[in-house]
Amino acid sequence: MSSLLLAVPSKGRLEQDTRDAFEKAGLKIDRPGGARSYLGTIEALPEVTVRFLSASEIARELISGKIDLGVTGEDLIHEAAETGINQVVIAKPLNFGQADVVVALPNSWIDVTAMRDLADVASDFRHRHGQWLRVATKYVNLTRRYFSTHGIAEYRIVESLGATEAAPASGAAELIVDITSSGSTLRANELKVPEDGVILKSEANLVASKTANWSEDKKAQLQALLDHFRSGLGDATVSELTA
Amino acid sequence: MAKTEIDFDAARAELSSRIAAVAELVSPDILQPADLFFDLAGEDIGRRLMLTSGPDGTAYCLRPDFTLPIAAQYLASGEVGQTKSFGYLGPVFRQRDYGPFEFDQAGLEFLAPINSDKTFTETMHFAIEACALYGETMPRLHLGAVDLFETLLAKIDLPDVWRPRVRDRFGHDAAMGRLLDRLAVPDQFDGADDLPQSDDELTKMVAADMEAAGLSPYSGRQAEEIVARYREKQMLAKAAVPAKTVRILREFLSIAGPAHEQAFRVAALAKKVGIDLEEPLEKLMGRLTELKAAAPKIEVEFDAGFSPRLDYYTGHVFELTANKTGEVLASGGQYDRLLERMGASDRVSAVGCAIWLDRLEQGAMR
Repeated sequence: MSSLLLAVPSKGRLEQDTRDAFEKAGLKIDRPGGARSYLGTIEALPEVTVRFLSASEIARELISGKIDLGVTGEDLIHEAAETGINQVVIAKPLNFGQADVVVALPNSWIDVTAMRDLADVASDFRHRHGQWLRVATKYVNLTRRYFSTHGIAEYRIVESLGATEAAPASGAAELIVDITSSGSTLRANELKVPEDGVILKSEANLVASKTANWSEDKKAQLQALLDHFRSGLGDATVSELTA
Repeated sequence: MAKTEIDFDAARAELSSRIAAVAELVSPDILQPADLFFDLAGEDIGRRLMLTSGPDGTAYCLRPDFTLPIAAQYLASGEVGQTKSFGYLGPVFRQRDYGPFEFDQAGLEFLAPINSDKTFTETMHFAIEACALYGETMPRLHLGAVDLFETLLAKIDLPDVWRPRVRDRFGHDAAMGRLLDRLAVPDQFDGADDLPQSDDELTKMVAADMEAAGLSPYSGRQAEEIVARYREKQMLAKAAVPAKTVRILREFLSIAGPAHEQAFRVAALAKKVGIDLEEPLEKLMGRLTELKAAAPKIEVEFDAGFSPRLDYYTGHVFELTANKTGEVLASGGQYDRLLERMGASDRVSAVGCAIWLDRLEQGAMR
């Protein structure tokens, strides 16, 4: 009998919130080896294998089908692969880990209040400075799609994997696209979000992989697990997986 | 797989000899510095590139087309300004929504041609005949005229600051539409109204904000630049650009359909609003007359808003599409600003086209 592989965040606040949410659903996750162990179990569902991974790794492995079900953010799914969102089913939002992917630019840009302003600024910048307006971000796919929807073509992405909010001050980029939960980091760096600058409202989700190998056994385990969260959720998700 | 009468190897050999008859066949490196493409086309092309990076962090890509590598080679050769004709046939690499990421293209690039107009005609006929080689004898020809739009834009009653912004959106219908909407009915001014009235003081205030945030006063957007655009936004909210200007631009951009009729519509519009478009119009009429005589079977459509969204195109641009499926089989045009954008000291005229061999072959099998 094949066993369902569930991946949950391996550390920090996300791990704790995930374990709390599962416990509330009657699915207490045990991590017998403590924080250094990468395997866990659920007593109520002994056939399910639990693995502890980083949230972005979970996103990648859901897309490639190496794990069946996982807890991760929609932002990370989008970022792992351009069309990654098509390879998964978002089964259930878990009401924690809320964060927005936003466009943020210097407070001193008093002429920019909306994305349409940014379209003009990008165009002007290239004509005036002979170079592209630079956007620092780790959200390359989301940024390209959002900017393109707003008809902004005159910019370049500078990939940034940490402390993105410092990019304007360090001169690495003119503006940023970053994730924020309270906005305090942006405020501390004198950055503001244009009125239509929220690209994605993300939160932790239970996500199932469409590309995983779904045997009848595993489908049954998935249904049983999801029904703990809400009765009927299992059926709905399985039919979406095979649609 | 469906049967076809066409021997693809023979067709390629024939195409290749036609290219060699008018140009030097070249084959630039498959691995190209990614900056070459990003610098010219920005992030729009970024999602299409097959990227990799070297140990020193340099980003490379598999060539997504031949035009830029050929132009770069020409620039590096130190013969800029000399008339050169290049041709190619080989694989290019692009991420796309369907179809393999590696596919073959053939094409021509004429750099500093002696007579751009004549070269454009030859290039277009070369593409038409390449389609015929694969059994597509009646492709539709989609024609655009960047020079016509640029002439109109230069002469129309519009604050100068808006001209480059409008130009940048040419070829992108949705973005252009939104911009024209804003010009017609400006938004309520949404800036703070408690800011200093004098430009001097406002600039000082912005500069102080920048300093507080640790922004460099020497790179990126400057305080003067921000204030200038802020004032301009204030002005626009008070006095929109003339309604007539937006109406003319909208009417012009909506002109599309059977080519001869459309050319007359452009002429009528120009006359009605008193803007002289004679020179580019005459060129367009000449092109249409030539096409009617040389390729009477080809349906020609003129679309006043049609252009690749790349600002180095300058003259006529075209696309050949499959008569039945509408798929683009070949595209080309005049792009006199490309070499200058890449660093040439002067403008160097250039004309070229690319042919989608994979689509022609698939079309032949249907």
